[in-house]
Amino acid sequence: MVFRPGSIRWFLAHDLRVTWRTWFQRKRRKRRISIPAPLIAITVVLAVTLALGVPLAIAIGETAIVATPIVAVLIGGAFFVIFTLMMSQTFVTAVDVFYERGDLDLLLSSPISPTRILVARAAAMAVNPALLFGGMITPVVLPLAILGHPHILAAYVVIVALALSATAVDLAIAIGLFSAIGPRGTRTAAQILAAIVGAALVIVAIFLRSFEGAEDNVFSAAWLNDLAQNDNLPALVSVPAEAVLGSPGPLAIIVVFALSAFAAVGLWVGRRFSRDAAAANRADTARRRTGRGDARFGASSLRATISKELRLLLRDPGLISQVVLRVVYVIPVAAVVLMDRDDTATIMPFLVAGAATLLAGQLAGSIAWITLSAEDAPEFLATSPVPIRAFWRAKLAVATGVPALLIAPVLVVLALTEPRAAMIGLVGSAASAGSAALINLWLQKPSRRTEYRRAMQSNFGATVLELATSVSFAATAGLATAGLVHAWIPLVVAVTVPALAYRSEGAIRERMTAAA
Amino acid sequence: MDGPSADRFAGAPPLVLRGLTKAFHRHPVVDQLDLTIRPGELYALLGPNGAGKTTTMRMVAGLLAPSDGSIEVFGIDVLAEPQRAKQLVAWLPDEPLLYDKLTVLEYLEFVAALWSVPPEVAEPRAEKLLKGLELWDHRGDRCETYSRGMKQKACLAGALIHDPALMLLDEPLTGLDAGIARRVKDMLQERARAGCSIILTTHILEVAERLADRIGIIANGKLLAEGTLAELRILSGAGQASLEDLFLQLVSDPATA
Repeated sequence: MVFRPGSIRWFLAHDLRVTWRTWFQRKRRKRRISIPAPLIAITVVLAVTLALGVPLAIAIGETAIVATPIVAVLIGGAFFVIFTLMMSQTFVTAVDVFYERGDLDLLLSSPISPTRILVARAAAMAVNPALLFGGMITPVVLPLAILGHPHILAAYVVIVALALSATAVDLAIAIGLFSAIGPRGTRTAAQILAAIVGAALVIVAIFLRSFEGAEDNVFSAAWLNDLAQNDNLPALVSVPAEAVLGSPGPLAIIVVFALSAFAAVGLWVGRRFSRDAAAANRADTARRRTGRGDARFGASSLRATISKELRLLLRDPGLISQVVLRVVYVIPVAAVVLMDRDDTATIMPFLVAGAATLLAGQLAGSIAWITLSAEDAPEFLATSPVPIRAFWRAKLAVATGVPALLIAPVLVVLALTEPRAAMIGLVGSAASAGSAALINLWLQKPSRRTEYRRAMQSNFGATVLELATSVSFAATAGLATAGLVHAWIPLVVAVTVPALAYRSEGAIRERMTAAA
Repeated sequence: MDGPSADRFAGAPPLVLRGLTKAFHRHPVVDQLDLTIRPGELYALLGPNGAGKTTTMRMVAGLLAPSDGSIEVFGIDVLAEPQRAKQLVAWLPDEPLLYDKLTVLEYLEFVAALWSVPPEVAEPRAEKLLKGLELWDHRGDRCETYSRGMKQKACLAGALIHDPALMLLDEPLTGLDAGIARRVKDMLQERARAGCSIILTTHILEVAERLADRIGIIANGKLLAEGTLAELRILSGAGQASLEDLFLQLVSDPATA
């Protein structure tokens, strides 16, 4: 299909082509066997459809699906979750619209209106979550539509409307941040906000479970029973469900709202797009003095590398926020565990020892991932006369040293009342941090640090193994503090898991060379 | 400008490549390359895109393992003793390798530490280099705020801070303005006079013509010709032809390619 050059659809097609090619290229590089990504996605959707969607559609049969209170709340809740996740997904992209130079200088120097460029780019942002979540609802929606409920295809329209609304909201917040804290801080704030939005549902759900009475818990049987008997739900609550079920009025409301929000924000942001993009560019290239310009020559290669890694970490709030947020996610869980119990005083020592061990592993894993895999000048290190093992030692020292500094005060306080628990916590933290760091050494995936910031890359295998080992060490520490002999069971897991990740130095080098 | 004493490695040529070959997927990118660089020589390696220049340099720098052949730096086998050889070599790629979040001075501290340059030597040398490259006033700025030319200069300072005896420069003048390019050229000639051997690749033939003691022309991974400009003219029977004419004649002649 050929669109008129310079039109919004033409820009949209251009943006999507570039985005998808980059994405597919990255995915292809990750896999040893080259299978087209769309084929994998279609296979997964088909499998889930057969396993879940078809039996569900058969079970519902010809029974009409109506927006009863319980259906309204469940569908509304599901689509609210999708909307939140969409917002989280597009938030950083919305801010990056202003910062990513790429072809922006070319486009903004062309005789095309900046509003048109912005609207096309925003539409491209909306397409990806729409496709993702459209694909995710397909296993349920498609069999239902085929087996007697065609009106439910309206769910796809709702998904597109949600994607447009999420993009509009994200762009509006991005502009708000721009105005409030300026272009320099906006990017970092956006990364933190995106992660918080993504985690907000989990955190809120956990706290709801924790603070409400057990019989009133959200999604508890009693709560659902109450809901089923409630005939007076506010009309607003049932609008999304009715729209999904194909009711024309509510569907029109949602579509009109989404298009209006998207158009309004597009026009508003488009008018200032040129100016804000220029400001973002200036913020990126403006002089950023770091010190008085003193030199401290004479360090050993180990000390120099540690110092370099610490400076790079501390000066990159975007990356460090990703690390710290992993801790933020753990805090509510720990708090809930703590608050759910009456015998807080009894369980406190083993909880602290276990939590410290878990945190040490998670932090060390995150930092090791950045220091080992996100290296801006790998070729430069490779041409230096220092063996690569020396760099690894320095980077591991940073990865384990930072958590040690953060966790030490907690263990010191614990030692005042429970020296044995503190000692177990210390050993557990050291083992957990060391294992997580080693997993990231063995499974490192070299790439430039700027790429990490943009793609928020992670290694799924390393993350899973690292979580498994730190959770197992945490369980070991907790059980050992409580004096339970069963502590050996998680200990075996904790020691075995890193062994699965082991790679020889030669194998790591091969991986690094392949990445280069 | 201080430099490596010419007799520090007396006897052994700075770089000897014998039968150097690198193949990717069985396709040779560098094919049985023999090359010797003399002490204090500025050698320009010219060739069309994809000729194998950068691959050759990357093998010498220890970044790529050759498929066949040997590389000796001052008599040290690069493949057997990479660390010893790297101590003497500086590699400057065409794309600046810098840490965005470090200042140039911090970058030089790091490089000096890796090459074990004593502080009493490194500090004044860093100051001299940064002043010479007009980066002194920016020594406290993070590299992420630098222009491409400034990054290239910062990398050059990094390559010179440990006083290498052999420099491998891949397109070192890319992105530099005329004034700084002239300064860098002068600096390279000073280094060569002080005994440092330099091998550089460039697409700017005028640079090779003016700077290089000898010129090597490479195409399809093979060395087609080498010598001084005068020797190349005699070799090609081209009279007073410019280097550009010689280059185009050599790389387009099927008999030599």
